[in-house]
Amino acid sequence: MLSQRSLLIGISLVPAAAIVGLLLIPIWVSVRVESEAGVSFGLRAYYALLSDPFSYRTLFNTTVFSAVTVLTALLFGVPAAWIVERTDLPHKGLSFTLMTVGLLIPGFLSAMGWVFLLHPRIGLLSVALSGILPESARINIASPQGMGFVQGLGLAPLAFIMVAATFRSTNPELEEAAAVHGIGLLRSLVRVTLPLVFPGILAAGIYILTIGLAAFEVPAVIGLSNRVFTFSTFLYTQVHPQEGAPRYDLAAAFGVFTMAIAGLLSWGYFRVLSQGHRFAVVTGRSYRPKQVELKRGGVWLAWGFLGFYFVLGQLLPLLTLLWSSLLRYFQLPSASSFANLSLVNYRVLPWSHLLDGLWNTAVLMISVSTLVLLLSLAISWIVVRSRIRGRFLLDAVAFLPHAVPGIIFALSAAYVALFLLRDFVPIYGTVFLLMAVYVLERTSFGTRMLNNALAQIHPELEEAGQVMGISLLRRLATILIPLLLPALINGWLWIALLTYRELTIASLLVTPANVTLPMVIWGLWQAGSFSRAAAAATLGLLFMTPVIFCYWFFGRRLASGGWQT
Amino acid sequence: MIRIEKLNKSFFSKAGLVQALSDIDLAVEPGEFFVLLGPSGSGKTTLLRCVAGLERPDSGEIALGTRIAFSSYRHLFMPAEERKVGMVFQSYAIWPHLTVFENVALPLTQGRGRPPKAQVRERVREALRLVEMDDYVARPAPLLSGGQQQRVALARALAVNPQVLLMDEPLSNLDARLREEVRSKMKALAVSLGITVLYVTHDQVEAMVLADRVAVMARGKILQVGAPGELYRSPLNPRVAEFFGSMNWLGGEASDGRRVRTEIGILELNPQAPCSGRVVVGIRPEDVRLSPTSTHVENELIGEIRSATFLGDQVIYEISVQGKLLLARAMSDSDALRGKVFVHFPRARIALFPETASLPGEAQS
Repeated sequence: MLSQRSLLIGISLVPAAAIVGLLLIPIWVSVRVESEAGVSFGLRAYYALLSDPFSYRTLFNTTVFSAVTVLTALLFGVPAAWIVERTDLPHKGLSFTLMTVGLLIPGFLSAMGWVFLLHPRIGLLSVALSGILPESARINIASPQGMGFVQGLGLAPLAFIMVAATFRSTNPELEEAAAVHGIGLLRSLVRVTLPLVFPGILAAGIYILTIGLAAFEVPAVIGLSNRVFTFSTFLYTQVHPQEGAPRYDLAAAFGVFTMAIAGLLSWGYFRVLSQGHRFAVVTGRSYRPKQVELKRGGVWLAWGFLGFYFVLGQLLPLLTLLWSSLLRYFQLPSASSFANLSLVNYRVLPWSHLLDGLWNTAVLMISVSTLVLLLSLAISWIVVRSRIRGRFLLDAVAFLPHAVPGIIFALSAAYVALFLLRDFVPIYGTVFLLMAVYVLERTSFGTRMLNNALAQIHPELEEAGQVMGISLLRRLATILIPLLLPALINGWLWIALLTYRELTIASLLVTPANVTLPMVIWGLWQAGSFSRAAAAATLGLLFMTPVIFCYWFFGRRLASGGWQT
Repeated sequence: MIRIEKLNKSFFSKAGLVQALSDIDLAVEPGEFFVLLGPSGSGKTTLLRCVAGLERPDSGEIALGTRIAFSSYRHLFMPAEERKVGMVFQSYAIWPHLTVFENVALPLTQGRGRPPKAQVRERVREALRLVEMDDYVARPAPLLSGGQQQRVALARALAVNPQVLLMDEPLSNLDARLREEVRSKMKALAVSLGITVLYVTHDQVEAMVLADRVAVMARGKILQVGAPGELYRSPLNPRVAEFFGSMNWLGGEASDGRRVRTEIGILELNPQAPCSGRVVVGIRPEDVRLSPTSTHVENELIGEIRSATFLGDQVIYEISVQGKLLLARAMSDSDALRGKVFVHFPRARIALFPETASLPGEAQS
């Protein structure tokens, strides 16, 4: 019915309008000049930014940080993808899990672990390596390179998944042709396979570069206290300066600059993806790619590589975190330190604050996941199923939060809530502000996922209901939602996990009244209570374990075994 | 029962604006089994979807019984949900998350009428009995075979008591043997229920078996409407002729309407032959008579057999007549022919079209 369709259109226009509004706010704020004489408009903020050497240092840091992030992620992700997709290494499920479980672990927790590992004086690895490496070769974790390395380890699973998909869809006949014509494995790898998957690797690289550019968690945990700033932490300090008034104009101007770069990178990403089809690597035929036979040594090497990544990227930082949470002051493992283990850090945690954060986080996980899926369903239905003009524009707008750094959304939302809405809707400092911004940010993921899921459902299944008199909302309830259920459950759990670990947006929008669990942990860390922060982080991980298990065993399985129609 | 006037529909595609339907006029009588026949891209499915309300035409009018379903003059578009038609889709569109019973019941419980529960149960059983699926009520849809899915789809469409039943190539996903069986049952069911059926297919055998009347479509236009025999025997257009079985085509020139000079010789015609000037002459392979000796009749030419393809009950001969290759179809009970033969073209079976009507095999711009 027409009115029900209008309802869906109305529902999807609300987030779309909000997204566009939040993206325009920084531009407006950056040119707005407030003085005693009143408000005027000009480029003062941009001049201030351009004349300050600090901006250039930040830009340089961000560039180095992002570059090291991409290199590290690809260094681990690409060989792992080749091993898992193209060799006959047994236990594919295990190797896949080793590489991807890191996606579920909040990046700021690993970053905290890494500080304990690479602290120049007491860091576990620093001390262990001090005998081997000269002083000058020490890794300084509080540098753009060091932070980039930690960020890259965290993003390696993403690189792995993206490149593995490319390896999977590459026609093995092209490699078989090389083999038949007498080209050896190594030469064929360099001359045939790599050029074929190059667009896929490039696309993954650009994608990760976009994320690295906007990354907040790792620079916030490692860099902020050492005054090493990248884009996101620079923006954060402009809004939360240690002294003086917040400089929204400077933050907005830097934000506009970064939005432009992020936009360019996204454009490059899609261009590379569409160019990739030139090689026609994806065909309709299903085939099992030919697998390279690993000899005994090769198997060991492959497991060694995957295990090395897992230990370095996930296990080591988290174990270090656990270890330090059990000690009053950080010590290296030794007989005396074992004797000092105690739960004292857990006892002296600010429990009421922590429980507030836990409660708010739980509320957000449930409400944000549900709202995102409802809004995304409306948007995706219009984009995929209706023929309404302008639906592709709606799709593009829904995708925007993916391309734009989350901290810019938070900046705009903070500005709107503090200065524009304060008198009408006192939303600042409430959980609803967080909810609204989280929902807008995650709608890009929700719509990507549901666009794909809807496209897999034959339109005639819905048309059959339509012709036989079932109205649109009833069709959604009785036909589409049941058919989409596997994807919906999977998406719900994944959004809940992302909401749980969200620190970037929260950093600008959280007050003591609407604190979240990650903010409690980060707050302890910022205050210098490293051991107590580690204890809170360990509790947070424990709280998360059931959801992670749900996702791993339930969500993933559902996603692969959905209705085949 | 279905009245369509001046219906137009165009799409934007990669190739630009495509006229999917142009000025379609059609009237389907109550209780009639009406088939839309045409190759893919001819617009037949678009027309069916316009009647269902799944596509919105650009202009024209559609009436279902006494109700106007679409009219561009009156700015009226009745949504599909309100048209009270039944439809069987090409993919069957059986909802995979429901059982057989639930599939048939869903339009009743969630649709417009929503009869009481007891009545729903009864109507679902009745519909399933009609298609002989009443033993499978509790079976989950993914466990059904293709033929069973087709029957459930039919039951679901019938259970809503539609005025009109729409079917979009419902047999194209079945294997050949099952198709023949279902075809005859479906016709019998439609006759016994007295329901009006609009049926889309690209298979002319299916059209001939099922239809009371057929509309042959090509490139968004209706070429001819008539009973199957009429279309076979007196096609108005080479394309219609080609669509109903195969044809041998000859170029020629008609002088006085009594004979035509073709590339293989002069052929005598029935006196009522209508055209003159450059013409296209068609004769079906099954109408070409072959014999090893001359039978001394008119329109007899000498040819040579180039190949013979054995099809079981029939043999297809490829004959060269004056350097032109023609096909002839003969029963296989007589002795196989070879070498030189006498080829007879009965004058009653020769079809004549003005040359302006393009041949189906030729490149179409």
